[in-house]
Amino acid sequence: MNRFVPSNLVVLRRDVLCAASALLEEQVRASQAFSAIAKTLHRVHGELANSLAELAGRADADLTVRQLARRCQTLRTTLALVEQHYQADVVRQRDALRALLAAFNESSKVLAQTLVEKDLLDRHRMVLERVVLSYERVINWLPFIEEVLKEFHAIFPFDLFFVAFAEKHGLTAHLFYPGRPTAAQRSDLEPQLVRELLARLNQPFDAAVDLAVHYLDWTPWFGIATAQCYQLLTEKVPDHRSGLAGILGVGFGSPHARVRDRSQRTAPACV
Amino acid sequence: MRNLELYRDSNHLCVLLHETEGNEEEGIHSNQYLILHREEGVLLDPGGFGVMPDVLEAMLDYCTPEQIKAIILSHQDPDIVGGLASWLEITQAQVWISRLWTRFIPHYGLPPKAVERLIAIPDEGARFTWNDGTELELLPAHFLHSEGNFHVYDPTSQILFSGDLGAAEMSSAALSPFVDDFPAHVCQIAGFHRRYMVSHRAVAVWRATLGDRPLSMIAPQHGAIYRGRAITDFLAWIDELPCGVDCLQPGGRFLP
Repeated sequence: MNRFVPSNLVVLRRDVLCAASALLEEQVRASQAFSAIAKTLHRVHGELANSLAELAGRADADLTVRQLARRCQTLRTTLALVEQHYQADVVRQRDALRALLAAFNESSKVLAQTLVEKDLLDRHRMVLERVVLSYERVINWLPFIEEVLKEFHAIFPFDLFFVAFAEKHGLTAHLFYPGRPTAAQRSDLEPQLVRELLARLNQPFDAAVDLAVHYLDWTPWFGIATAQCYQLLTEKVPDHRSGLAGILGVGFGSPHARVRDRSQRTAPACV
Repeated sequence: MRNLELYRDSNHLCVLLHETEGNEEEGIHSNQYLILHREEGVLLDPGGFGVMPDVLEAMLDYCTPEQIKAIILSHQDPDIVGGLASWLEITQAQVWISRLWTRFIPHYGLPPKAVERLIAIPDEGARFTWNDGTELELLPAHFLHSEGNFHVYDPTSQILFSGDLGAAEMSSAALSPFVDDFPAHVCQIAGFHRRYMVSHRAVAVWRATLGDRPLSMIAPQHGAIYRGRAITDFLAWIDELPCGVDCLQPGGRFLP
């Protein structure tokens, strides 16, 4: 779970996973205890059954002893059946709990991601539109954008904001980092970002890109270090309103990113 | 309760799972570490009975049980092995432990056929190899404190996972997860090391084994993780520490 996920969902996920895991652990322990007891039962019962069988085999053995020996043998078979049935149940329940853990974990991750994306897109659509629509209308565009992003960052602490426009000479992309990432962090992140932007704008992968990087110095850099940890949320610029073909979006760190399919994490949607 | 990432690059992650809060865990607080390399995971000292649910929940943030290829146990104590049966039920992992303990571990109660998944580490140590050929080194640290004891050195992150060596008997969640000021930390570890580490000779032999491997952190199984200056300070301190049988006196007394 990352810092953008609602805390009640984090708590719910933790509680459910811990409860199911605890059940599994208790079951393992109970199964081991049962196996140990069953082993002792088999041994002691076997000794009794053998003694009775020996007594019943004597020529002078009375009917009661013979009947007891037979019942003892039946009990031995029954005990084996009980244990077999119990252990089969244990395996079924263990498999069910494992499946439940896996399914719930995956569902909670997907739900968390969906909530983050919905929250971002719903609450900040107007902010994003202000950025886009001001591009060719506001003379001091950069100071204006930085002010907008300051407001945006207070509500949604993104690690990277970008806006890119496909213009006649190629792609113009503005990157805004809250704080100052290292050169190594930038060189890890930016090539991937450019690839995604070009792909989203249906541009050739080797199209010219004019990259302008801006640092928002009113906050330190808190971003996660590698591109593999980033999730990007993108919005196509509404070209019917701006006359520009473009894209904008935010990047933010997530520990899940390395184990999840990227295609499931980008959620393009038109404004 | 949170996970603490100690190292991350595009292929490799070292994380302290579920950094527990004070009194959350009965008995002494313990650290469980996950190393994830590409899509393969290794769990180090996964903890005693009752700890598994929290550790599993924390681990699921990064990988599935199926991705865990190995569980490496520094030694045989219950705070390390007590929960092993459950991990063997939910993973297909092999379990690496000193050859001294492979015949004792089943006494913790293991699932059927689990013994076949135990790998005996020879006294001289071993290497765990990831699918791409990258390795973890299992370095001998015998008698620190267990008779058959191993540390895990990760050359990628340069972190030494040191089991009980460097361990602190810390109980307060308010304390930092890292040791930055070693002189202030000594009081948390001195008593434990004097009594539990078997001898000064064992320390000296371990130091020779460790050699000049670069260390970014020393991550013990209990208490805070050493980094920066605290690493060299700790090594200098342990080099000079009389401990264990060096301090043993007639009548069961120990030198202070």
